[in-house]
Amino acid sequence: MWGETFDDFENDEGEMAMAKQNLIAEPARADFTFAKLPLGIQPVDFMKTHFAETAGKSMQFRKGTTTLAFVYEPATPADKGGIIVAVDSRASSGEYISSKSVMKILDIGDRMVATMAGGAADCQFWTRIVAKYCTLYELREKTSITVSAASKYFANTLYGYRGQGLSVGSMVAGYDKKGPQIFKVDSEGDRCQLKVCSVGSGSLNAYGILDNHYKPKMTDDEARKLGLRAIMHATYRDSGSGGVCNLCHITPTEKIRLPPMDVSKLWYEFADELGRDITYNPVE
Amino acid sequence: MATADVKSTVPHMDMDRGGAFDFSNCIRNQAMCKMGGKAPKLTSTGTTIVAVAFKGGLVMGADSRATAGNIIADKHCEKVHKLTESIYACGAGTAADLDQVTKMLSGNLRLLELNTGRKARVITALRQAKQHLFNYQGYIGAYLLIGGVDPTGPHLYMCSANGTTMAFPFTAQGSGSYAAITILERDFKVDMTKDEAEKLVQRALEAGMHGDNASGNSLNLVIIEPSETVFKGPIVPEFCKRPEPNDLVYKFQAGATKVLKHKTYKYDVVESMDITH
Amino acid sequence: MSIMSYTGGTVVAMAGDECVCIASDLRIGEQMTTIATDQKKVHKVTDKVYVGLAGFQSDARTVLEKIMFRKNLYELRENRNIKPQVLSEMISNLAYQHRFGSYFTEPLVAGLDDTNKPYICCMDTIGCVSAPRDFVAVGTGQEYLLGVCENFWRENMKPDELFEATAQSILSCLERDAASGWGAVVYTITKDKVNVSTIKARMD
Repeated sequence: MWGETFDDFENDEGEMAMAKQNLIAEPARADFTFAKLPLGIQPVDFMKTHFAETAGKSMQFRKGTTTLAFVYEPATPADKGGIIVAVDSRASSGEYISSKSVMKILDIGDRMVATMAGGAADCQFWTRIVAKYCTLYELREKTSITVSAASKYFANTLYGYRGQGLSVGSMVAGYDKKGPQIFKVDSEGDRCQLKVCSVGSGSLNAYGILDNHYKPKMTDDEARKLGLRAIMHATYRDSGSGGVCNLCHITPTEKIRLPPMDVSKLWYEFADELGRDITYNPVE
Repeated sequence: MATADVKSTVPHMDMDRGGAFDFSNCIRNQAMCKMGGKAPKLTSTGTTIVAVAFKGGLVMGADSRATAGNIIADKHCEKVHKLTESIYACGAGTAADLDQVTKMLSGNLRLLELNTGRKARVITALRQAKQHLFNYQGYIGAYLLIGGVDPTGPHLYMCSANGTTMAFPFTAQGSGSYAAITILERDFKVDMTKDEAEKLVQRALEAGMHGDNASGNSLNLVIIEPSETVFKGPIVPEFCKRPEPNDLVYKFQAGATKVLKHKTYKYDVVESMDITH
Repeated sequence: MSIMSYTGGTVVAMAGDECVCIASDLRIGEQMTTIATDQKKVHKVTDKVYVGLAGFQSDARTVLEKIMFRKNLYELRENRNIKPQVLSEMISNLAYQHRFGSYFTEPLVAGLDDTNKPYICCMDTIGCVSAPRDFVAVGTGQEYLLGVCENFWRENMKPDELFEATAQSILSCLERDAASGWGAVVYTITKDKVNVSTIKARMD
């Protein structure tokens, strides 16, 4: 029985069907298990003792982020519309900037992305699990998965580990048969559909810009600029966010990843645009 | 206001509380810590200090590293403190406490010498140190080796932060003392020559500096004899040297840094000369 | 979070040939949020002596007033300008007086004495003076600065070169320290003048 493949069944149609039934099953939610902590030790307490701020920077998880996404409709026939996903690229542990170039837009299939906020490892790992689920789903069902289904699987999985110290704040965004959709999912088990959404330590700052300038109908150029601008202002106020702005534009037909933009450069451009002198005046 | 007026007003101002400690921030700081703020790291000497008596004199020595947590706060800190011409103190523990305690001791001993017209004794220095430290019940983190030569001969004492004192023919203190004391225990002999004692102290210090992360960089020695006191240092042991000489030169051409705004303030140049010697 | 990194901020000083450079970032924050970007942490004491105060900025302000008070009394009493060595001893005593309830600020002194010899020193919160001949740094970016200065500092640098070395050091530090940044200001103190420059830094 070891190393059984479908070739072994090719003579018997009935047996083949049976084997497929047995082997290609819906992957169970917990088809892997983590090493358990010794009896009597609570995961949350364990995390607090070993990975909290008191543990020194090398033991702290990477966090601190601004991510945003919004849906818009094309303003002119020349525009594509869809979803703009924009994120910063800083990973910090406490005050220490552990990386300046993290890619916080993770792919789930060809049409979908998930953003990363909270524990970097938690986000990457569980996004991978969701991506695996989606791929298997599409192979099994011969149809692409909806954003709604993918995000619900994600949320359910996280809910299974609720209260055990996972830290995930993600937006699952993509285009499916129902159109452009964004779902915000977090490690508390929350899942909700939004048109304009931002997650992370700098999210309030990003919302400030988004709420002010967002219109349901925009040109592609406007929409991309809005994403950049919101991220830039968030990185300016929030010390946990910074680096470059990675932008992803999901149109009805394709997923376009735009080249990273240095947020500091964007700020100086913005300062020029203002035409006001905001540079510090040196004094004795 | 004329200068004389200022002088007469100054004593009435609550300026330095006669040099005593000021506890006005204590309650606030406790409250801040309760709110979750962590207290800052203090500089600690994290030291190896060693002292050995020989026939007619005393050799004392210390490394020169001061640490704050994992970082080396000072590579050439002076841990051999002069109390009088022939009494020295080496310190381990909280660096600020050591600086201030030894400063106070040297001041008091100098005043004593001037008042009595004779040289201060080592036991006097020790008594002053221990009474001060005992008063503060160990909260002043100064661990001292006080040694010197006075008319009654060479003496070496250890004074702990809580006021415990002991007399020794040889001893080591600080985080590197475990390594240093092994060398002393093995090689110490009664009535060594000055040369032997000096070599022994240096070896013991090097052992401490090698084995202890919080000690290193360089060592300072003081050899106290009835006739003279010789200070040697800083001596850099071979294993404390930077592996390759730093011939990698970062040279920035003028204008490499982008300056957004710039201002120059000129002032009158007052010519003066060095009168410190 | 440590009280020392509540507002954030970094100060560095380097010694050269008859000149010193002292630089600070410009951010003041409330933990993760940046409140203002025009908070310099370097203050003039006399023409050729400057003091930098990193750490909790509320305390830094209080300590600065206390320093200026003592320095003014000194100058009135002695009728001469204070030397950097004397000032650092004064600040050390002030800080040590609060040994058991300290101000959460780390002072740094940089200046030229009356023979134009450079003097730099830094202290911990309770006034342990360390006065090396090359460079000193205090604040949230101290660790990064000490590392980078170790290579950027060279013997007997002239004012121009010293400025570049100091500026580049603090810029490198700001790349990795989230609690400092948003601009930096560099003071180059020479025997007849002081140059103050705002340098271009990252704004994130």
